[in-house]
Amino acid sequence: MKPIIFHVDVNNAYLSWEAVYRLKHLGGSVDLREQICAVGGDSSKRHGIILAKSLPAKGCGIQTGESLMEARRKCPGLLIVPPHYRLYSQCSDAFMEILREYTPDVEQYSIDEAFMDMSGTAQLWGDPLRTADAIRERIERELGFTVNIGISENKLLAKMASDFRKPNRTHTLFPEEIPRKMWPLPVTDLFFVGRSTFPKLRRLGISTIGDLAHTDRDLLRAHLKSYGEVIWNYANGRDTAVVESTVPANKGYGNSTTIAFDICREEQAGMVLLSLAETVGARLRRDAVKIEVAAVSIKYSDFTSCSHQRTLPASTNITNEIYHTALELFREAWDGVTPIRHLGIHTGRVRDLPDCRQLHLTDLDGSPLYSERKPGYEKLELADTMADDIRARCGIDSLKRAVFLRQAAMVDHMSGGITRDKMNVDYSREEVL
Amino acid sequence: MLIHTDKDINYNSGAEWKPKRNRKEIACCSWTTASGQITPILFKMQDEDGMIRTFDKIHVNHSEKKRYAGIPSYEFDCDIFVNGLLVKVLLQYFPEDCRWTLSEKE
Repeated sequence: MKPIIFHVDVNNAYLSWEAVYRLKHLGGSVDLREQICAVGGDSSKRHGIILAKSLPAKGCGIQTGESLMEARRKCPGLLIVPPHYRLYSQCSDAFMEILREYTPDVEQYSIDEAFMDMSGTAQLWGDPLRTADAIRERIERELGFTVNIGISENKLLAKMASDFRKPNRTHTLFPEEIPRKMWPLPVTDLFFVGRSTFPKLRRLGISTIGDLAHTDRDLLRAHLKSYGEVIWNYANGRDTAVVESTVPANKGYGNSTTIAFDICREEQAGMVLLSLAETVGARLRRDAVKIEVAAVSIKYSDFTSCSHQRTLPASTNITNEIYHTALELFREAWDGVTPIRHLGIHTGRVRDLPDCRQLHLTDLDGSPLYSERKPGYEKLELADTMADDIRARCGIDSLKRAVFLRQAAMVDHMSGGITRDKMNVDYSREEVL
Repeated sequence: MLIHTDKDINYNSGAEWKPKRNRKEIACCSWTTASGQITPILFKMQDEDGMIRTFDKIHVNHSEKKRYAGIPSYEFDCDIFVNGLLVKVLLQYFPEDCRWTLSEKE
């Protein structure tokens, strides 16, 4: 049986979703998708980057990830709308729900993309191309936004196909179509080939996907090691990855935040690290896992960055332990002078909750980890469970450490990830056209 | 006719013109069957003079459940009579907010 894989990709997801919400729920009469418009963060909090843009904005040279200042310079009339993550999550859920009606094998690849294994469904739904068109039209009719669907025999080719002409189209890229449809494209359009690889390939005289496909595999391996072989296989349309409908367990948990001001003092950095440890710890406990490695990442005001990591004596998900380890790592990594704009805590070597804890001498002795009142790790675990419970029932702001009360305006007590201000939009302050 | 009034039109310079929202919040009385099918029976809305007007002759041509932007709503394509004239309107019900809106169809 010939495998059939769909890749479904929402066109300009964040912007489309906001456009539909404004048109259909707020009574707006201007479709943001047809305007020179982008979704952007808050410049005053230094979160001011372009998160998504409309096709007309793309035509003006606006790029995802660039600063709002840069974007406004390119296009002074650019209309910028704030992010609204609660809406994105609702749209994504509704989108995935429709896809799961057609096959149980749906892999959510990101908030706005999914792979569907449609192998063997022709008897049920009919011709794959017509089925894809029906899904596409249904999503537009019921949810109000458009998607591109790529059809092929494997995930890579399906993804490449969905990236062809946009919006609201279905494309096929079966192996026999590769020379005609994929090989003439620039090599940077190939999945997994980024900006840093391009110069290396250029030096080898490779500029299109076809050039890469026809290059000697050993030559690529000599220059790019195993990665060279991977992209050579991709250029020839070979991919063995299967559609995974169950989400694989996280390999690590981390949160980071860009601070509204440059940090120059250790106490300020400590506050930010504590607030990050709060959110990372809460995520670990929610997923009932512990971590064995903790790391701190620092981005300086000149945009250079560094990171430092350590293996812990025992696996943990205790906020205090993560915080104290992060603070020690920070002290070791920071020169004490260079201003900091961004801090992160990352963790690795995730373990399922063990029933027991390997006792360490520091657990019994006056550990620097518990220097405040020397409580045991069990007490800290109970305190964290209690805090999680109260926050789940009464909201995350119902309980905060006293240190954040003093400095409430400076650092949010739960930093990192998608913060509350990005979840919802106060439309009374927005002009809905 | 129903929604757009002289007050909605900006006769000043074109630069200041902004499209007016083609939608109004309404109070609506509806009938829900045991199987969950909803039909609008009558609705009330404020006209441009601030008077509450009642519309009770509603003919539903077509209704459909939607999930625009992932949020459930019911759309009713209706004919109503305004000053003896038939006007095509779209009534929308948002169950999450228990809210009804009316838009004039183009």
